[in-house]
Order: sequence, then C-alpha cells, then structure tokens
Amino acid sequence: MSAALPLVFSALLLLPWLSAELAGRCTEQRRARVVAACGALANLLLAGLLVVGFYAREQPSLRFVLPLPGAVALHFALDPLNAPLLLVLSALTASVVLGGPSATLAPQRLRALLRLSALTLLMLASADLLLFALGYGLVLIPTRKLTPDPLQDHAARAVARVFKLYQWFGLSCFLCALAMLGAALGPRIWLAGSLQLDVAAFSPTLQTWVFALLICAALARMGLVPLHSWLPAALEQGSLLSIAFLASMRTGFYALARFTIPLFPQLSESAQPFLTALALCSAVYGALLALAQHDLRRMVGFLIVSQSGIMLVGLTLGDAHAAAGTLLYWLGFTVATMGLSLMIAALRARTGSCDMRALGGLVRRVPQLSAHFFLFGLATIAVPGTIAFPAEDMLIHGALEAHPLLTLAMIVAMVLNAVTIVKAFAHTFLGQPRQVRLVQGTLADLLPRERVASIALLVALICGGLFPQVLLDAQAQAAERLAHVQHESEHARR
Amino acid sequence: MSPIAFIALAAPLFPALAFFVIGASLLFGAGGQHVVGSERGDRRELTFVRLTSLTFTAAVTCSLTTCIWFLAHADAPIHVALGDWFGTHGYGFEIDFLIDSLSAPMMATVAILCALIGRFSATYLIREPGQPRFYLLLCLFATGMLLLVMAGSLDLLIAGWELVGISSMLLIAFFHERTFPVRNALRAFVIYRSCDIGLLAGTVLMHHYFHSAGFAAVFGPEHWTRSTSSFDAVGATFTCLCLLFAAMGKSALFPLGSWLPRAMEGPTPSSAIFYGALSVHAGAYLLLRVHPLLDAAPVARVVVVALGLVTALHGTLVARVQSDVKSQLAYATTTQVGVIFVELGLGLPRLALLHLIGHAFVRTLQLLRAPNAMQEALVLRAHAQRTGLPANAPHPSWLSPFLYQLALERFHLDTIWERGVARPLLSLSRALDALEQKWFALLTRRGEEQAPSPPLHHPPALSNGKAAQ
Repeated sequence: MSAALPLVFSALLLLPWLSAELAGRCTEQRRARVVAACGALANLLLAGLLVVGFYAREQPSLRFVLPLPGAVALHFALDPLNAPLLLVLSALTASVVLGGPSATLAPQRLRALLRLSALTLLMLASADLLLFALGYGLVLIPTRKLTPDPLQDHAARAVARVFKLYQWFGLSCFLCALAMLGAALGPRIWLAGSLQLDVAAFSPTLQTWVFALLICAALARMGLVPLHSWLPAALEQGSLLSIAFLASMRTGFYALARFTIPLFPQLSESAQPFLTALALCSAVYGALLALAQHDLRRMVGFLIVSQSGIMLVGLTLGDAHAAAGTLLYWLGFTVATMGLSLMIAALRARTGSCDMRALGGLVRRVPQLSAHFFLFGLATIAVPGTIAFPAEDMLIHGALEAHPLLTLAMIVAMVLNAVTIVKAFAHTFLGQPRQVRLVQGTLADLLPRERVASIALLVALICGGLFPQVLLDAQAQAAERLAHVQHESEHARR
Repeated sequence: MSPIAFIALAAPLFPALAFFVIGASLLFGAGGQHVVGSERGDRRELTFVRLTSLTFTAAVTCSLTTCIWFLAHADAPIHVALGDWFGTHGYGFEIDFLIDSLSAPMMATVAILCALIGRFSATYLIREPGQPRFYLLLCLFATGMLLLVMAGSLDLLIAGWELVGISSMLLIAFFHERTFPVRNALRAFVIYRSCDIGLLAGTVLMHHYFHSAGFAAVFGPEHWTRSTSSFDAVGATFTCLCLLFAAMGKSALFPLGSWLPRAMEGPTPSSAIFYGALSVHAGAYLLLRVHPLLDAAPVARVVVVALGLVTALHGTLVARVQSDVKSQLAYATTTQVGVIFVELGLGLPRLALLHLIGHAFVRTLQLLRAPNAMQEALVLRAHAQRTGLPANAPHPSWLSPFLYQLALERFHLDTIWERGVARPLLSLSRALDALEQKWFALLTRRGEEQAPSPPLHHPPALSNGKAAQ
C-alpha cells in the first residue's frame, strides 16, 4: 500500500483533469454529468485510499518531488494539514457534480468546475510556493466560465469586473512576493520546496514586504475584510456552487497556514495583533451584513466572510487548542456551507428565486429540501452532534486562554451567524408564501441523486460531530505545529 | 461502574435512540408524503406513539429507580466519568455525569413529565399533520433535558442546554404555516442564543478561575448544597453573573421574559412541558447546580434576589390583566420562577428545588387543562350565580390605573426589546449593507444605475422544477 502512495497521489491530481476533458467533450448534458460523476467518485475513492494509506504509515509527512528538466523540481506534500482537506475536497466535488441542478451544470460548466477542483487539489497538495502560485493563478481561467457573463447585463458585468479586480490584485501580490523571493534566492527557489527555504537571512525590509504581499494575496482569496466585496456579489450573480466551492475551500487560509506563517514566524508574531483585529472585524462585519441580506446567496457570501474571520482568529492566536479548533472548524464549515449552497441552488432551480422576501411557506411543498436546508443550517450554528460544536468549543477555549476580550467579539459573531441562519430558514420555508406565483404548481422535492449527495454530506457532518476525536487526532500534528511555530518565534524574540 | 450508575445513564439513551429512529424514518423514508387520516398514515402515527411510549416508559423506570435508590440510601453522589469526548493536550471535553440528590429527583421529574406529555399528545394531536415531528422534538427535548440535569460538568450541560433550545424553538413554530408562531419562535431563539453567550463565558471563566468545569472537581465530593472548596470571590462573582445571564434567557427573567407568552403559540402539550414545567426551570437548575459558587459570591446573590423579585412582581401584575388563559399561565409561571430565584439568592437551595419540582407538576396540569378553560369558566359562572359568590376575582384596589395600564402593556418590554436591541442592530447591519453597496458601485464606476443587487429580480419560476433539475 505504502509503495503505491505516490501513484495514488499522482492519480488523484490528474484524474479530475481527465474527467473534466471527457465531460466537456460530451454533447449531451446527461452523459456529461454521468462522466463527471464517475470521475468525481473515482477521485473520492482515490482520496480515501490516499488518506488511509498515509495515516497507516504513521509518518509525520510525506514529500513527493516531481523532477523537471533544467534541475527544476516541483514539491508536493501530504501531511495532517492537507490530508483531510484532500478528502473533503474530493467529497465536495462529487456531491456538487451529483447533486447540483442540471440547469447550472451544462457540459462546459461541469468542465470548468472539475478544472477548478483539480487546481484546488494542486494548491492543497503543494509544498512549494511556485506550485501554489501556479494553481492560484490558473484558477482564474476556469472561473471565467463560472463568474457572471460580462455580456449578460450591467449588473453581471459589474460583478465580473469586481471579481477580476480583487482576484488579479491577489495574484499580483503573490507574483510580486515570488519575484522578490526569486531575486533574493536565485535559482535556489526552484530547487527546494518552500517548506525548506530559510528566509531568515534576508534583509528585514525584504521579509516584511514579502510577508505583507503574501498576506494580501491570502486575504483576497479568502474574502476577508477589506478584500471581501467580490465574494457575495459573485455568489449572487455567478455560478453559486462553483464560487461557493472556491470560497469555502479557503485556499487563501491554506496559504497562510502552509507557507506564510511557517516561513515568517517572527513577522507573524509581530503582525498578530493586526491580523487578529482584522480577523475579528471580518467575523463581526460579515455576521452583521449577513443578517441584513434578503438574498440567500449573498447571505452565504457574508457568512463565509464571517467564518473566515473566525478561522483567522484561531490561527493567529498561537494557541494549540484554538489551532485544533480552527482546523476542525475549517472542515466542518466547508462541508456545511457547501451543503447549504447545494440546497439554495436546488431551491433556485425550483422557484427561480433566492429572495427570502418573495419565498416562504415552502416546507409543505418541499419538505425534504426544507429539512436538509435546516440540518445544514444546524451544522453551521454549532448544535451538539455536528462538527461545528466541538470546533467552536475548542476555538472558544483556546481563544479565551489567549485573550478573553477577543473571545467575546468572536462569540457575538457566532451568535449573529446562528440568528441569520435560523431567520433565513424561517423566512424561506415557514409561514405563508409571499409571492404565490413562485411556489405555485407542483414543486418537485429533492430528487434521489440530490438526496444522496445531501445525505452523504449530512452523515459526514453528524459522524464528525459524534466522533470528533478521530478528526482532531488526524489533524493534531498540524495544529501543534501551527501553534508551535508562533510560540517558538515568541521565545526567540524574547 | 455501579449498577445504579448504569441504570441512570440509560435514562437519556432511550429518548435519544427514539429521536434517531423517528428522525431517520422522516429523513430517509417517504416522510411527509403519507396522507393524514389514511390507513398508512394512521399506522405510521400509531408506530410513533408506541415507540415514544415505550421509550418514555423505559426512561421513567430508569429515572425513578435512580431517584428511589438515592432517597433510600442517601449516599454520596455518584460521579461517572466516561472520559473525554474530544480534546487536545491540556483540555478535554469530559463526558461525566453527576447523580446526586439534586439530579436524581430532577431526572424523575423530567422523565415522568415527558412520559405524561407523550401519552397526552397521543390523543390531543391525533391525526395532526405534524404529529411525527412533535414526537421527534419531544424525544430531542427529553434527551437534552436529561443530559442537562445529569451533566457532571458545565461543558456537558451546554450540550443539553442547546438541544433544549433548538427543540423549544422548533416547537414554538410547530404551526409553521401561520406567521406569528414563526415570528415568535425566531424571537425566542434570538433571546436564547444571545443569553447563551453568558453560558459559554461562564464555562470558560470556570475553566479559567477553577481549572475545570466539572462540578465534582470544583465543588468537591460533598453534598450539592455545600462545598469545602474555597473560591476566589472575584472569579465566583463573574462566573455566577455570566451564568445568571444565561439563566435569564432560558427562565424568562425580567427584562428578557417577553418571549414566554409568545412561546405559547405552540401546541398545548409542548407549552406545558417547556414553558410550564421544564425548559423554563432550566435556568434555576443551572444556579442550583453551581450553588456553592453562588454562596461565595454575595454580589451575585444580591443580583439574583433583585432579579427574582422584579420578575415575580412583573409576572404577577401582568398575569392579572391577561385576557387569555395561556398568557395568564405564562406570567403566573414567571412569577413562580422569580420566587424560585429569590429563594436561590437567599441561600435556600432545598426549598428552591422543592418549589421547582412542585411548580413544574402543578403548572403542567394547569396548562394541559387550559383548552378546557372556557368550559370550566362557564361552569364556575353558573356555580357563582347559584351560590351568589363573585365569578371573577375583583381587581385589587392597590392596582392603580398607572400600574394597570403598565401591566396591560406588559411593561413595554416588547417595545424596549424592539427599540433597544432589534432595531438598532438591524439598522446597523442595513447601514453597513448600504455602505457596501456604495463601495461596490464605486468600484464598478457605474454609480447608482448599476447596483449589484437589484431588488427582487427573478427569472421566471419553474413550475415543477423538472427543466432545471
């Protein structure tokens, strides 16, 4: 099994490309979906095998090096930080392909979605800033098909422009940081994976600039305040499932945890108050704005902003409990947010609207859809029995040990998010229909394939909530390392 | 593990199991597609009733056995630690239960009342479309409440507390096709959640000041009303005040009690068990559980007494001017809960426990009889005419017109909540949203004509969704 790991790893990275091309070539939509679903399920199987194989080896991490001509090599890693994420990513891809509404998953869009998944896998598997930057930049190509069509109308054109503005800003920051590192390191940047780089020898100014640029790139991709405006707008006007996929995997957060903080521990320590303040602002600001939304898609956008803020608080505190809670929170909220997005997409396919002011009274018409929406909602408000409960518990305990007052702001954001979700459910599914034309006729409840996809995600959330220690153990080393990096730098500074 | 501990631990397992069975059958099965009144629908209804009856019978047996055993032996508390549910180095969420002379009678109370309500609802909610949902939520509530009273630590108590809150909110919105129950459920949830901040903060403060949230670890193995441990007064005060804030929400203390009469929108059996008997007393139970800590915090005790007095006064005044029986009973409940808090603050925990249990049973009976109130009022009136006694109690002379008006307006608590909390919060979020829209317009350089979120823009509705799926 262990000898086959590199092979499985390579297949995992390549299979989505293959299924994307095959699905894109299909002329018939149904066939394209079957091909994409088979590819996604096969990828899920591979991810499962890889993760089981990795944990069976009981090694802290695995490195895969792909030598290229000219003494250049690409470095991949498999460790407790990314192994669960690879599995979650594959599961989410499969659930979106299987459970997404057909109207939003034409062959070209399926191809774009699978390419997006493949590039996200590449980013999550990389141990190399260059490789990560490649994924970070290339993601913008498939997302062209998933963001609003600029030819559609004025609003779509505006959203497409803002999306590009923020994403190109992030990419420019990333490329500038790489250029600075490349100028200082010379060819060494191509030889060793970024995890082996020693940037301590650089001048403090250079370090500060590179660090700041990497932070900006991560914040832009995560959609953190003040670089968040693209996210709710793109979710509203673009392909909901794909943009939710892009945002909820939080590759920007991964860049922080994988590269930025380990490479610049002292700067991370110095910037901790600033980053924590920014994260808290995002958490509360996103929560407040989510409360004001009437469109379910925009609401999800601001919830992601708020959740990302909460995660960043946990990461920057440098506390082992908070870091463990953050990593669990990452897994749980990614799955729950995607589940919610799936249900919203299904709702829109049936009623043509995501506006809470126009909907209402749907629970009698579509009881399964309502129940699944509510259960995903419960998974985001930390009800015992879902992953969010242990995640928030650990996060709050860790945060309070580090800084009691900050915790209060974080709890306020969590409470506001819970109120937002329950309010959205009540307004959308309960009460009387507000615009009867939207809910008249025979609305179909969840289709079998939609139910399978949704139930699989729910089962994962509930199993993770009932047995969270399995996940915590799987991520323990990563959490300790994240907390340790910042502690070490604090000691070094003293 | 001793046999009695094993029996006690089985009590919450039965309703939890029933919850999973009913939930799975609703989620995976053909759920709501059975027509109410059809043979198949009736059969399914009967199955749920039987399952729930069986479950609660088992839970009552376990709880009563535990309670009787404690009364007979009056032994030291049984502390059952099942280990950590989850955790990392230095912190673990302990699954530990504390069975003592506080939790054992509460277990019996919870199990008996849940079983009674389950039996009563079998007839009361017969052929009601939401009956399976009612039983599902009743089982969830019973699990949560039993966890809450049996919890050996604040950590585990939170889990039960949250389950009680969610099931309570969903039962208020039981008649979900109507607007008001949904709105009232949302309000109750907002208050619950806001006050949960206090419970979370209190738990974390307990960890911070006393290095554990376990009751046995912090208070020692003695009887629940006394502790040989010494507490830091500042830590005890802050912790108790946070927990009191949590209790204010759940027990509808002044000024956060406006949700309680609104919660009566749910079916009568759920009103009886939640807002007459158990859920409304969860806050009082929380303070009973941390009573040794409250003893060490005189400032917190003064606040508890003051809040209890104000709540009792408010409740009794408002109850006297209510025109519907359920609202009257709701305010009568807050009066009694206020008195229980006064007893707690005065250092009379045994009296408070006795009062709590007695009140829970009496109020459940009253609320279950509430639908017959009109009929009984007619009988009373006829009796009064025969005997010459006044049928209605006269207004007390000391109730001045000002107080009368104030009571009619329920002391303007709804308005204060609306204007002081809900509206400013929503205004702030809308102002930020407007700012966000302006920023977006600025980025797109198109100004107002190209707002990113045009209101109510819908593509044509798909009648059956087939085309889109």
